[in-house]
Amino acid sequence: MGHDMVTRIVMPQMGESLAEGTVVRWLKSVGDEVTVDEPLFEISTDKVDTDVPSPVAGVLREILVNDGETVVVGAAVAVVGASGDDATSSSAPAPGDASTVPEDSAGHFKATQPARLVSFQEASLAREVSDDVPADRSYSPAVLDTARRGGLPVGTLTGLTGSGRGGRLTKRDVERYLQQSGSPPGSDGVGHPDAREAATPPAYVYRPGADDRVVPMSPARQRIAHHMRWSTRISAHATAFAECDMSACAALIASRRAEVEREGDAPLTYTVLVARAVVAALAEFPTLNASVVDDSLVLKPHVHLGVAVVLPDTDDLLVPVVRGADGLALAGLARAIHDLATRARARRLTPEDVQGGTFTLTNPGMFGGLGGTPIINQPQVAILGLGAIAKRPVVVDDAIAIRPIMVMSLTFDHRAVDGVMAFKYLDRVRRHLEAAPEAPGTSGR
Amino acid sequence: MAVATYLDAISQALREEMRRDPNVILLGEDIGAFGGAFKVTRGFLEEFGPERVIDTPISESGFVGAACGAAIEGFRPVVEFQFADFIACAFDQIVNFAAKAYYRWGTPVPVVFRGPSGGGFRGGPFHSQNPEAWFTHVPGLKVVAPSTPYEAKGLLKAAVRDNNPVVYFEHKHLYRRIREDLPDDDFVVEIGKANVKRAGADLTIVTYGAMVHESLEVAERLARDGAEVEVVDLRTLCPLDTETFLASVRKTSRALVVYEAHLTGGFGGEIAAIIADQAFDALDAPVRRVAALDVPIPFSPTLEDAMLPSAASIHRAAIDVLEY
Amino acid sequence: MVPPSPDADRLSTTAAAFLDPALDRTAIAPDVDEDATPAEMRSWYRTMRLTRTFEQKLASLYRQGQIVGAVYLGTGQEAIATGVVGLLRRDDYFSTVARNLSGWFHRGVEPKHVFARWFGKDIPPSHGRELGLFLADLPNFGIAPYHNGSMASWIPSGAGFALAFKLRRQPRVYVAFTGDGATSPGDFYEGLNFAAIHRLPLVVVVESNGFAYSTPATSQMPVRNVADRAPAFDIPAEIAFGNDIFEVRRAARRALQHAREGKGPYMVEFKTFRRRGHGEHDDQGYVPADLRAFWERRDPITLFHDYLTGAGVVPAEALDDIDRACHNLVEQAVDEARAFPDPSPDSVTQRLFA
Repeated sequence: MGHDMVTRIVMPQMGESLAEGTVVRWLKSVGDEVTVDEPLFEISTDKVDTDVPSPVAGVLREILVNDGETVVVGAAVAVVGASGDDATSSSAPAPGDASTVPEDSAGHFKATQPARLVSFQEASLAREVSDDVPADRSYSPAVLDTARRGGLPVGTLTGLTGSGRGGRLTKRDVERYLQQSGSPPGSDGVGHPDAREAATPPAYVYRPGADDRVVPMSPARQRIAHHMRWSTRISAHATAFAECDMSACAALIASRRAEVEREGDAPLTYTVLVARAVVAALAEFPTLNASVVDDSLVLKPHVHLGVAVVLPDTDDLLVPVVRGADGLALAGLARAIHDLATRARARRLTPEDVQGGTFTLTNPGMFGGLGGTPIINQPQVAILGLGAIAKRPVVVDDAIAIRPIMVMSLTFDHRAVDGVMAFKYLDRVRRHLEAAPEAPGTSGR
Repeated sequence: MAVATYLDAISQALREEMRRDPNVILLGEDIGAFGGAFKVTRGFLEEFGPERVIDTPISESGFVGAACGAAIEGFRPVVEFQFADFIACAFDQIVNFAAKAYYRWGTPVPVVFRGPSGGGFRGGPFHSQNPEAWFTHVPGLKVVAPSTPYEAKGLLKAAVRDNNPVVYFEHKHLYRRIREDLPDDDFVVEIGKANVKRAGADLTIVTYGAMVHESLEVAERLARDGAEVEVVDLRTLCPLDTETFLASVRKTSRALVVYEAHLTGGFGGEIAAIIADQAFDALDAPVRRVAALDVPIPFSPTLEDAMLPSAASIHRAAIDVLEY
Repeated sequence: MVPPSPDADRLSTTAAAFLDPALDRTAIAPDVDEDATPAEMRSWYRTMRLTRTFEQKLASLYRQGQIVGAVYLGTGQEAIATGVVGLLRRDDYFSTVARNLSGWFHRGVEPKHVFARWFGKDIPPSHGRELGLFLADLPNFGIAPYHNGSMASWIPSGAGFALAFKLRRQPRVYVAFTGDGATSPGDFYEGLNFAAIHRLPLVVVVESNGFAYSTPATSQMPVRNVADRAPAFDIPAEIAFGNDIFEVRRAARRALQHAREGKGPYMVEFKTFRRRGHGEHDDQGYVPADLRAFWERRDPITLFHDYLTGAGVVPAEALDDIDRACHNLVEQAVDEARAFPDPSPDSVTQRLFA
């Protein structure tokens, strides 16, 4: 036995169920020499009274529990040190001390250990959980049930990020999402706030640098981002362009502006005139006023025209809907558009104002620009974007003339609409706009 | 109210029932003069006499059969197995006679079969088992496994008063380690009712016996990390109260079943199957089980500790389910 | 006195293995202690004849496929249960299976109910849950419950009933009928051991018919007689010829008295022979022909019939009347049994817990 070897003497367990024992009296005193198996002290337990022999030879260095005291099984009651060793007592257990109460050796669990399945079957021990588990795992019943009860379409779930292992979506994630986004979405496909992009391959994700400024997206921005990503996935986008000579419209506005303002209490604008032409042409091309549902084309009886409005101080884009635009004459159309735009800018639109559109008209041309490829407003199949009206030299009757020209960009869903129809439609709209001012419906409601 | 250990509670239940009903008799090895291997019946021979506290020869099948005969004839015997493992010697009489007599002939057999079950004390393969699954599989038997002194006393009284054969497993690890203040009145814990030992919203642990305490310890640990665990104590295995744990799982959506017996064929598998069947739509993670490895319970401490479930292994499994 | 066997009928060596020549006889007679009246003896004859007739009908129905499962007969052993049960008091219990139908009939169990149970009908106490082979009905007949086909399994519970009788200071006895094969399982020893320690009123009647299914007794036990094991329990035992109803009663009387006086268990081993297979699905091909012939000449009903008519106790015509009456009763019982209802499938989960 080495110089600083000490042995803890512990209260033994004298029966399967015993948890404690009482030291009755010590048979040796501190400083006494002891031999192996020599009785050291007497104990009393619920089951049996007996004496406890020393496991080692040496000198009794310290008594920790006195006569009459009760301690739990395994507690140290004394220390025996090596003979001739005058080191002070230590309660440190010697290496390989057989009297140490076995701890929970199934763990020596440390919080830093990664959590692992513990049914102890070999298969489950071998199954490591990796972090690149693909995000398209199936959803748990709880997730689906929570989504269903919250009115959340399953498709929305793919846009959510999960906090479970490997990015798995959990019930908590869905509950939190429902809390944040409020009421469930309407059927016109106006998106709702997205938490983040769904898991993108890491190589395509920009990692901000120290000098970069990270600006979180506003809820409105998130909503738009979500919708745009989804719309391009859903529809087969294609765009047809056409030019239109707006001189007839200019003349009409000049001649009829006062009258319309008086009747409809709203300005007569190019947007209003284009809206009237768009709606009239849709009567001949109902496919452009439809929706694609599975393998069917759903044709609608009326035109509810969405007219895009940009709010002045934010980048919020709203699309209020003129309901029953096909039944409105010029003044009525002007009034409806004016009312919606006004309320939009005052943020006084109701949920009904932004739902149920069947065709969308957008006029980014008011900020300049030739044309573009607008993205369809789901679940519609077409959107018409207007470019700026600018004077240009054009050929009229084999001579150069200066006319106000506007480019129209019709993005259409090629699942439902072919190019032929798209161009025919655009041409119809053009002819309507270039026609004589006495177009039908001059006196209106 | 007075403080009693789990073992005291069992003793009290037997004594009070024997005082209340002269038909209650005890049979077992070393229960009379010696007071029982674990001292459950200390003093009983002196109080009740040798005709009510019968020291039997080592013949479990024989004295179990005798208890059944006496029970049919109007007594209410409580048979003690010195270690629950020895119940295997009387398997035929319990499973083929006691369990089936009422179904076959309308003859009730009001016997209680009780014994200390469980490991963790270096008792080796034949003194450490949890044999409940052998008996939950037999129609006609009731099986209970209390975890607290209050329930040990209340369930034993209920078992004695029950007209059916009841197999009562008292976990020996709890005998002297668990104490509780017990009411003075004659209280009974109804057989067939589980209860919630700790409420929580994040994870349900369904368990029974000594594992209840390990599970509660794990729950405390996890609470410090912000996860609230609900611990459901089955208390009775057969007839099983499914509503309590199903309601819990519907609330938390995550379930962990913990039992000290061997994993395969253990009663926890039945719980997992019921959850998968009746709470499927509520589940946000697979139902996992923590149990002993499928090997006989070894003697050497390093080996026994490696195969029995513990707070550490329950904790790891709980995290696994919580993080799924 | 009992006349010795005629030379022509000397035991073959095979038979000698089954029956100690000292016990053998081909004619029976009561001794001075037998106090039964002619009327009582007629009732014994009726019981045995009813049993024989019933079992023949049962075997026939089985061969016709009208009874399902299996059928086990006690043909050739009728004297034992008749003799023993005839000595029991109304509040004594006994346990037996259908190889001892005579015990059931002697207590008053009706043939139509036994047939009904074989037909799986819904009648108490089992309502179709139990084989026809088993009956437990304590309140009406004192026939005690058991669980196994192994007849040792009710030795422990028999000890339990006997314990109850003793604790209540009642002079009642439990008689457990068992077979030679059924003295091998541990329960036989554990039950008798327990009963012997506590001096319980348990009488064990061993019907040693030499075979357990196809296993001869020589493969079943190293001792010649089951009774040779009685010293292990420090209990008295005797061996007697089981086809002589008077001999049965002599031995049983001693056993019951011993038990009823609180002296503890008593074992009686009756040597007899099972004249049909273990079950009707067994053709008994393992039994040598000469052994079968030997026991045919010692049929208990024939022996008793010969005594009754030979000693002038009951005229032959009266016995013929009994034979006919039994035949008619059995035929009628089959029809009545068929009329009982079948159990409804919905009832299968009922009455599991009291």
